[in-house]
Amino acid sequence: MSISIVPAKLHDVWLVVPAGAVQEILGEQAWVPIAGAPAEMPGVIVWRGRAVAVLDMAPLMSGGAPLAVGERRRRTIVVGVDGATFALPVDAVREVQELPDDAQRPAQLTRLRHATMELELDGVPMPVVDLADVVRVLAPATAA
Amino acid sequence: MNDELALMVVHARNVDFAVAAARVQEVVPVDRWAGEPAIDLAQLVGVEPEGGAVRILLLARAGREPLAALVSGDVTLRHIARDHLLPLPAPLAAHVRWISHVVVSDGQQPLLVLDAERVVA
Repeated sequence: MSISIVPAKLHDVWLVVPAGAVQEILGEQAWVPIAGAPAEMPGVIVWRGRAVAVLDMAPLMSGGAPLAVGERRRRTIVVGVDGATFALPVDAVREVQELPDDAQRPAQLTRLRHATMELELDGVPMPVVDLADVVRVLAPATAA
Repeated sequence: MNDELALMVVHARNVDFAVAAARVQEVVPVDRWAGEPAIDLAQLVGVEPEGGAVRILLLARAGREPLAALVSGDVTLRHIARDHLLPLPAPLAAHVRWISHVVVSDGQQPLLVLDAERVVA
């Protein structure tokens, strides 16, 4: 058994997103801020003719600066989670990696909310984002 | 069904906001308004108004008294093709119930469409 992951960099931290959730990787995207929304979900982008919620991972990181109004990041990962679609703005993305299933271990060296597992890639420990858990917390009514 | 929706658009800095024109019963200069305290729509949607004339929009609501909404700056009528109205994604709508749609058009500021039924005074 193996796992497929997409490593992404946000600020100085590498994290991984399960490749199975990734629908598309875009470049820099303009986004529309929505006041009153949670810091982790600050607005929307337009993707394939519909509005998709922006999911900013930075507030989940210790000391991570949230996406500011007018700020854009160089890459946007579009993911599908429990029937909903989200756009993750990040600074960099690497190619999909296939790793043995046992490459994952409980998080010890990394700290990211909604990431209880981590793995190591080229000697760099990276938290594995549990997107379903993020969505369960941020948008419980829409989680399956 | 009409392919367009008429909106009363309020211009603000960086983003515009609007309500369905069919909801607007009356537009009253604020100095002539003697009704209940009005809800500030710019404050509700977190945008900075451009300044200018301050008005009260009386918005019809089903089975309730009209909502008095305060706006300032330019208010214009704009017709938007319905297929340009993008529903706010459900995960966000759960947090921001008063915004129903967004409109993003090339060369124009984004537009947030408010649902008068869900704007709680």
